[in-house]
Parts: sequence; C-alpha cells; structure tokens
Amino acid sequence: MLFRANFVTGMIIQFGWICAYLLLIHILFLHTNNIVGWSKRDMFLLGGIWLAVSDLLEATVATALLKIPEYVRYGTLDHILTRPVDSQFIISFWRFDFMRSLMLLADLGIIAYALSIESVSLNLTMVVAPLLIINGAVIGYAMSIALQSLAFWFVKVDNLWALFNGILDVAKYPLDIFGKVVKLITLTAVPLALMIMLPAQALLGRASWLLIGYSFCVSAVFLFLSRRFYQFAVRRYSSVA
Amino acid sequence: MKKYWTIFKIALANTAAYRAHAVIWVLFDILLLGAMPFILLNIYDQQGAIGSLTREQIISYYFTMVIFTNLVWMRGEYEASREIRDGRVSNYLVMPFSYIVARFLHEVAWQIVRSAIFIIPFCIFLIFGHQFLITPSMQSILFSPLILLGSAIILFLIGYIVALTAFWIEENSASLALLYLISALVSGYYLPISLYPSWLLHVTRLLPWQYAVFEPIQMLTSKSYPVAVLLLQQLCWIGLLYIVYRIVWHFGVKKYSAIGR
Repeated sequence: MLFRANFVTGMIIQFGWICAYLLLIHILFLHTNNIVGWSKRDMFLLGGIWLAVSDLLEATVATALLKIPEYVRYGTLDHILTRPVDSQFIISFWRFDFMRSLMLLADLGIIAYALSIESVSLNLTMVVAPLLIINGAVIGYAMSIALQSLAFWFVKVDNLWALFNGILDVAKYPLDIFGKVVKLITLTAVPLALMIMLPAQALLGRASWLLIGYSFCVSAVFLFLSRRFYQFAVRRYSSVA
Repeated sequence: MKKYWTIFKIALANTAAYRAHAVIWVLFDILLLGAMPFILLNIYDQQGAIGSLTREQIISYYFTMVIFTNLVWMRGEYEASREIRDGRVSNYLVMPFSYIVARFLHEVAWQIVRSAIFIIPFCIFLIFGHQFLITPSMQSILFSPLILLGSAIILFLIGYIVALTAFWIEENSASLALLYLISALVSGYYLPISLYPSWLLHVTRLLPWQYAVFEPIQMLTSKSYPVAVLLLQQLCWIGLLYIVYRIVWHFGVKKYSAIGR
C-alpha cells in the first residue's frame, strides 16, 4: 500500500483484463454455440477458475518466487540460506500480494455468475471443487519453483515467470482442442488439465472420482519432485561475498 | 551517424548476453497464441466458416502474428520507465544524441537477437506447415519492409509516450499494464479484428494499433491488398504520435529532477 494510487489503478487494470477475457469469449460465441462441447457458460466457468488459480498463486508465492534469479545473480541468497528456517519456505512465502488476494473475490464472483447462467444439477464432486482449485495452485507452485530453480544454471533469466505464465495461459481454454497427445501431456508431464479443467468439470458434475484422486496424487508427486530439484539446484549456488 | 552506429553495436553486444532471456520471451509469445488458432479452427470445422475467414487465413494470420511479435513489436517501455524513475535518463540528457533514437536502436538490437532465436521454430513450421499458408501478392512482399518498419515505429512511439508518464507518476507500472491491455484487445493480437462486433470495430478504427498490427498482417495474408493506403495511414499515425511525443517530452523534461547523478 506504499503506492496507493498504483494499488487502486492495479485493481482497475486487473478488472480490465477480466473484462477483456470475458469479451473475447463473448466474441467467439457470436460465431458458435460451443467449443469442443464447452458452452459459453462452461467457458466463463473455466475462465473464472483459471483466474482463481492464477490469483491464488500471485497472492501467495508468485511475487516471492520472481526474486530467485535476482538472489542467485547478486549473491543475496546467503542471507536466506544462513537462517534457521527452510530456505524454500522463506523464498516462497516472504511476500503476500494483498491486491491479488482481493481479486480472488472477483474470480469467485465470475464462477458464481457462470454457475447461475444455466442450472447445474447438484452432485458430490461440487464439494471437492474448492479443494481442486487449491490443488491446482499447489501443482502450479511446484512447477513454478522448479522453473525458477533453473536460475541456478542460467543466471541471466529474470523472466522465467513469463514461461510459467505462458504455459498457464494455455489452460484457460478447454484443452480438448489440441487432440489426444497434448491432452495426455496435460494430464501427466504438464498437468494443466488437472489444475484448471478438472475443477471446472467437478463443478459441472462431469469429473470422475478416479481423476480427482489422481490429481491429488499428482500434486503430491510434483511437490516432492520440485522440492528435490530445488535442493539439487541450491547445491550449485556459490556466494559472491 | 557514427555515434548512433556505436550505440547500436553496444546495444547488440549487451543484448546478445541475454540469449536465454530472449529464448524465454520467444517461447512465451508462441505459447500465448498457442490456443487461439486451434479454437478458431475448431469453430471453423463445426460451422464450416467463421466470419469471412478460411482455414488457410486463420493459420496464416496466427503464424504471421507470431513472426510479427518477434520481429516487429517492440516493448522497450519498461526499460525507458525505469531509466526515468531511477534518474539514469540524466546521462542521456547531457549527451550529444537523441534519447528516443538511442532507445529505438536498443530495441532494434533486442529484436535482432530475438529474431535470430525465432528462426528455428519459424523454419520448423515452414517445413511442415507451408501448405497451409497464403502467399501474399508481389506488391505486398515488396512493400512489406517499409510497412513493417512503419509498424515498428508506431508501436515504439506508443510505448515510449506511455513510458514518459514516469516523469509524473513515480510508479507507472499501472500505465504500462493499461497499455498492454488496450493493445492486446484492439490490435487483433488474440482474435482477428474482422471477427469483432461492429461497435468494437468503430473503436479499433480510431486507434493506431489496427494500422500497426492487424492491417499489416492482413496485407501479408491476403492475395491482394491496398498497400499504398496502409502506408499513408501509417505515415499519418507516425506524424501524430511524434507530435504527441514531442509535447510530452517537452513538459516531462521540465518536470524532471534527479539527485546525485
């Protein structure tokens, strides 16, 4: 809140991006009534969940993880490694973005609006949907920290966050448009379908319990692997002091 | 001229040190547009048409947009804003060359490095996907360097004018974010403007992005196109934007103060 005008303007810009995305969906549906079986309502819901996962990541860990390349390049990681707290914890959670946490409310509003457009029959998978959104953010965190850890090898890469955002950006559309091979990749190696599409399908009553269980297993595996990779990367670090 | 050539060589050498940086931006730009062509093709397959676009036009449009983003679309506004905010622009004010020209040369150097990296995915797509692309007319091919230069100048001037708000607003990241939002929407970056509803088309016609991005891409993905008209439109916008830049720069430099530099 140091720059209050910037905070308020930032909120307005974020609302602007949300409106722009919804406008693009609206324009697409001037020319069709479904995209690979996803209706306009479904697309709004998918967009709302994509925004919720993105804002959850931005509010909690993204701003902090951005700094890893800077720590490596300027040798300031020493101050973190020498503390009696796990360095990954400090690096990941030292900064909380209040504005993006407020945007979460807008994202939930979009999800609620999307669900209100057409009736959805109540089902048990809806109960799990909030957990799946959080699970999606957990997978996103694991992917993000693994990517940012590449800074220990490629030192001048301040924009690794752009690569993650670019990958996540693809997930705001139904991944069925890409065909079976890409769909398989988004369920395994780069689990975008589990991060964004699965919570939407859960809310629409189209998700299987097997896939829901699988997604929690994937997040546990990704967290474990990203942790090991981060620890492996830190061993490469040499201070400049 | 020699001093500008020296500036360009230094900028190219500095930029080449950020090769990994450039690879990530190239991948980012490809990913950002990765889904939209598939969506439009899906709609095309369902409906048999989407607007007046054919399958080849859809593929050519996004292929050309990715080339455009890597070759032409300069984004030097962050660096310019930082230089003003940090007071580093003071160094340029006392030097015997124009700051805007120096910044433009920096961006040209950056685009050259990016283009060199982009050559690989570009060639891969040309080899495997050339049958889906539309060959533009000979007139369009001949005039394309001039049109693309006009596009680069327009986009650079827009970004630069917004960057100059740093003279008044200490933290102007919101201004830059607003620029990206507007440019993404009205340039045809995500969707061809021809698919927009009529009320939005009226808005895009009044703004420079259509003539810097969408119309040049239309020129390069059409069998025939009124190139001379586009050239004239671009010249008008360059003139107008240059006048705006001069006014903003004049008042900005008067407002500017830097301590210890």
